[in-house]
Amino acid sequence: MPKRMSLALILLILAMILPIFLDEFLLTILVQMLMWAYLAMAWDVIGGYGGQFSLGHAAFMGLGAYTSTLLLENFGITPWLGIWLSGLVAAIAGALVGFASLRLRGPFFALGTIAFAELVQLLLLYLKDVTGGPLGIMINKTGVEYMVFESQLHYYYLALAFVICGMLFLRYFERSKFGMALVALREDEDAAESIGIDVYRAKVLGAVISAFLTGLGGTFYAQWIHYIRPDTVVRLDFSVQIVAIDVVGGAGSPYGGIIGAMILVPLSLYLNAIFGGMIAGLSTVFYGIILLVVVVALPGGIFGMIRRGFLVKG
Amino acid sequence: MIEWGLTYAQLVTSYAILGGVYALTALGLSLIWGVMRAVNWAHGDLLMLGMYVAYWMVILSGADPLISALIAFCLLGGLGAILHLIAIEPVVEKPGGHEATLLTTLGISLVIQSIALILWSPSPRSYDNIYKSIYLEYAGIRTSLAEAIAFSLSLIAVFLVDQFMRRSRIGKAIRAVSQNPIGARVVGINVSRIRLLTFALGVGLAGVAGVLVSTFYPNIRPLAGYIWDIASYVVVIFAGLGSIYGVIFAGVAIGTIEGLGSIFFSNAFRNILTFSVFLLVLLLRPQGLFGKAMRRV
Repeated sequence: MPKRMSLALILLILAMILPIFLDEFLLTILVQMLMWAYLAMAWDVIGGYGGQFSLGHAAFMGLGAYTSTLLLENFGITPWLGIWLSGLVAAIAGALVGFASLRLRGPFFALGTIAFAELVQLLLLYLKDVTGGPLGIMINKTGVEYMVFESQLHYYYLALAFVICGMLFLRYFERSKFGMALVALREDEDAAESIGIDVYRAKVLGAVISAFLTGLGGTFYAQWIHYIRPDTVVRLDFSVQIVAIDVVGGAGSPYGGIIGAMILVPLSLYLNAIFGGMIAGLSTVFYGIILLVVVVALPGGIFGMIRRGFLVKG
Repeated sequence: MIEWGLTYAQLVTSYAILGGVYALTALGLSLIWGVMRAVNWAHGDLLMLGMYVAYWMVILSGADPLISALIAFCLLGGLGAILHLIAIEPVVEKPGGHEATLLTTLGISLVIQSIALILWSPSPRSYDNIYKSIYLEYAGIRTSLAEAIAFSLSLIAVFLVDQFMRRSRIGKAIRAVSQNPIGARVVGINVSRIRLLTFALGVGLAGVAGVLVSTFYPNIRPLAGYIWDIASYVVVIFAGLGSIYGVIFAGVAIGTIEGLGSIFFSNAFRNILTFSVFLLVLLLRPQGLFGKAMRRV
C-alpha cells in the first residue's frame, strides 16, 4: 500500500509541476484531455458501474453549460456559484433519465437517452428568447472572479482539480454500499432485487449523481470555450466520445476515464492537426477502430488489462 | 378553404408516403434486432453507402437505380457478412454482449462515416433520374413517380421478407434462433451461421433502402445516415420487436405524425414531436404496438 501511495504522490507532483514548462498549445491539449477524462468519470457512475448505457450525456453537459452561462450573462452571477446550479439542473434532468431507465433496459435505454439529448438540443434551439437559439451565447466577462482565465495554465489546474476530485469520489463510491448495490444490479438486476437492493432508488440516484457531475463539467466546458451553441454542445459525438473514452480506458473503475482520455484525446487532436486540412475524418477512423479492437479483444478496457496483469504476477 | 384543405391533404399524403419508405429503412434493423437482440448503430451509415452505390452507378455506367438496388443488395450483403464476423460474432455470446455489440457497431459507424468523408467529401450530391421528374396526380394530390416506386417497393419488400420468414427453411431457422437460441442449437440449427445470414440480409436491405431513398432524396452525403437512423429506430420501436408487418403501419403512422407536426407547428417543432412520440412509446409500451411483451432484452 505505501508503494502505491508514493506512486500516486509522484504522479500528482509531476502533474502539478510539469505543465509550468509547457507552452500554451500543449496546455490546451492537456486541458481537453483532463476535461474529457472528468466527463468520462462522471458517465462511469451510471454507465460503467451501473451498466445503464447512456448515450445522452451531452444533454447534461449542455444543460450545465447553459445554466451557468445564462446566469452569468443575464444576471452577472459568477460561475463559481452558478456551477452548483448547473449541477442541480442537470441532476433534475438526470432524475428523469433515471426514471426512464426503470422501464428501459439495454439498447432501449441507450435509444431513449439519444432521443432525450435530441429533445434537449431542440428545446434549446426552440426557446430562442431565453437561450439565443441557433446563435448561441458568448461569454464576454473576463477575470478570475468570473472563472475566465487568461492563461491555459489556470484552466489546467482547475481541470486537474476536477479530475482528482472525480477520481477520489469514484474510489470512495466503488467501496460504498450504494456503489456496490449499483454493480450488483448491473450484473443481475433480478438477483440484486431479490437480495434486498432497492433497484428503483439505486438507478435513479445513480443517474442523478452522474448527471450532476456532468453538469459541473458542462460549466467548465463553457468557461473554457467561451461560446456555446445548442448544436456544438448537445451533440451525439460528445455523448459518444464520453462513452468511448471510458470504455477504452476501462469502464467501472476510477482510472478508466483518465487512461482513456490520455490515449484518445491527444491521438485524435494529433491526427486532426496532421491530416485535418487535407483529409477530414481520418482521426475518427482511428477512433472507431480503437473502440472496435478494445471491445472485441480487451474486455474491461486498458485498465482491465493492467489489473489482470497485476493479478497474474501476484 | 378548399385549397387550404388540399394543401394539408397534400402534405399529409407526402409524409405518409415517406413513412412507407421508413418501413423499408426499418426492416433490416428490425430483423437484426429481432434475431440478435443487438442494435446495429451503423444501420444509417450502411443505408448511406446504398445511396452512394446508386449515385456512382448512375455517374459511371448510367445504370437505372432499380438495377442498382439489386447490386446494392449484393454488395452490402457481402459487407454485412464481413462486418458481422469482425464486430458481432466475437462478442455477441459473451456476458454483456449486447452492450458490446452496441459499442462495436458504433465503432463501425465512425469508420464508415469517416471513410466516406475521405473518399467523397462532405458536400451533398444528387443525380438525375427519370422517376424524379414524372408526377402522378390523383384528386389534386401529387406525388413523384420516384416516391411512389419507393413506397410500393417498400411494401413489396416487407411482403417478401415476411413470406421468406414464414415459408423457407432458412426463414424458419431465423425465427427459431430469435425465439430461443439455445433451443435452436439443440434441434441442430447452426446458430452462428443463421446470425451471419440475418445480419447480411439486414444490411443488404439497408442498401436497397438507400438506393430507393436516393431516387427522390437530393442530399446524398457521408453524414446523411443519421436522420434515417433515427427514423428507422423510431419505426422499429413503434412497430415492436420482430414484427415484420408492423413496420408498415408504424412507418406510415410516424410519417403522418411528422406531416401533422409540420402543419400545426414549425418545422423545428416537427422533430420535437417525433422524439416525444418516440420517448412516450418507449416508456409506455416498450414492446411496441404490434410486438409481444417480453421481460428481458
